[in-house]
Amino acid sequence: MGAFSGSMTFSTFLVRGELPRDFRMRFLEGIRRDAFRPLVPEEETDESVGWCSIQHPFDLDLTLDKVLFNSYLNLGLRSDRWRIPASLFKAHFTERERDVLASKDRDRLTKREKAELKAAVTSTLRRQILPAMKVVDLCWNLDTGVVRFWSQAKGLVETLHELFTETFGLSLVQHSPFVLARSSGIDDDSIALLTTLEPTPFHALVLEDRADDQEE
Amino acid sequence: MDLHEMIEQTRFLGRELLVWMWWKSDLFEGRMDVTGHGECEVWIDDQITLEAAGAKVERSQLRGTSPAASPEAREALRQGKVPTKARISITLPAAARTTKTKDGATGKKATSGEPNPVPEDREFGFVLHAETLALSSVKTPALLQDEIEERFYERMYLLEELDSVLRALVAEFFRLRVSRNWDTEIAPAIRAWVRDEPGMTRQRYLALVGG
Repeated sequence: MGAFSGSMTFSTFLVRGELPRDFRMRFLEGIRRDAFRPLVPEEETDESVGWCSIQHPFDLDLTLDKVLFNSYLNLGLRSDRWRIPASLFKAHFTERERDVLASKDRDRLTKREKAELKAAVTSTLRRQILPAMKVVDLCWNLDTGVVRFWSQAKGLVETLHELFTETFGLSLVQHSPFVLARSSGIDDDSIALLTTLEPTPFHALVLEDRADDQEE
Repeated sequence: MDLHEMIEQTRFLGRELLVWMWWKSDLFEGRMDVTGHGECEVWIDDQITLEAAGAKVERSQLRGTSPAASPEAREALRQGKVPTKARISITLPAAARTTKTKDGATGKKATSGEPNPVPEDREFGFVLHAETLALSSVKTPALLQDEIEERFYERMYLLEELDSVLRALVAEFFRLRVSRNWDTEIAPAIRAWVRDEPGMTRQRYLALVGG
């Protein structure tokens, strides 16, 4: 589901700031620097987030021809996370704990030994399972400064804000009534008035309506 | 006031936008002139959610055929609920349609030098979320291109077209909303509509927006 096929559910953003003169090369540098790096079972980190090719999530060797589609800059935001089922972890941990206690002829492990065993079991299980992978398409129209991101999940949107700023040195503003009004050709005086408005009651007669009725 | 505060302070306008679209669609029986796109059909389709903000959020979720035309929907408005999301359908009149290829050339299924004519009206459907004006479950007209990259350009072209229609509608609403006419004529007319009483005529509305 995303930019190339499937049902379309997305968040829309406006990019704040101007494109730098040499944006192609500068952006490519940032994209390559922040490209996705696969998780390593031995490392402590639970999650890895970065850019990938929009068409091939395993393609991490990003070049201009893979990310620039005419006036669109297209990327996949890939996040992998280790998800070891709690019951599986507990079963393995209990078994290893029993072995260690038997070998040491003790009835309990110290706090430090437990932490070390936990790390060892986690590392072993990570080598036996694949991380859960999530890829969300991103299309940036460089002419209009509009970014579409094929997710509305809060966590992913926050991740996008951070990574986008880090990679491109520009920030994103998510669509809202105010943002859309500002980009819809409304004059500045009207925009200034928007922030002074109060909600309109639609469900009850207000004094002005009564006055109009009486005049009629 | 910084940008974040301005965004938060004006979020309620998304709900008012939905009420206005609903009312205007009713007033013009679904057909309305959209700047730059001609006469389009705009209507609330098969789902609408209305909420009343308060200590406890009261919600009415209506689905089915034309729920916005149901007595329940109008009753929810009378109870002070306002739409927080709705599935909207927009049909654009038949027009020339072209797409761009990766090298910027114009892509056409037809081999003639003219843009690809699309004889049928084109129907878009989407759920509009009032607070963010985000779109979900967007459906576009059928794609003409076969190649995957060409299909991408065509999808983007259609999304840009939908975006342009929405901006035109939003611009009309915001111009009205900040004008004196909102409090003196539009809001009273919408309240009359909510109560099923005679309200504004189409001619009067068009005069107000300069149409």
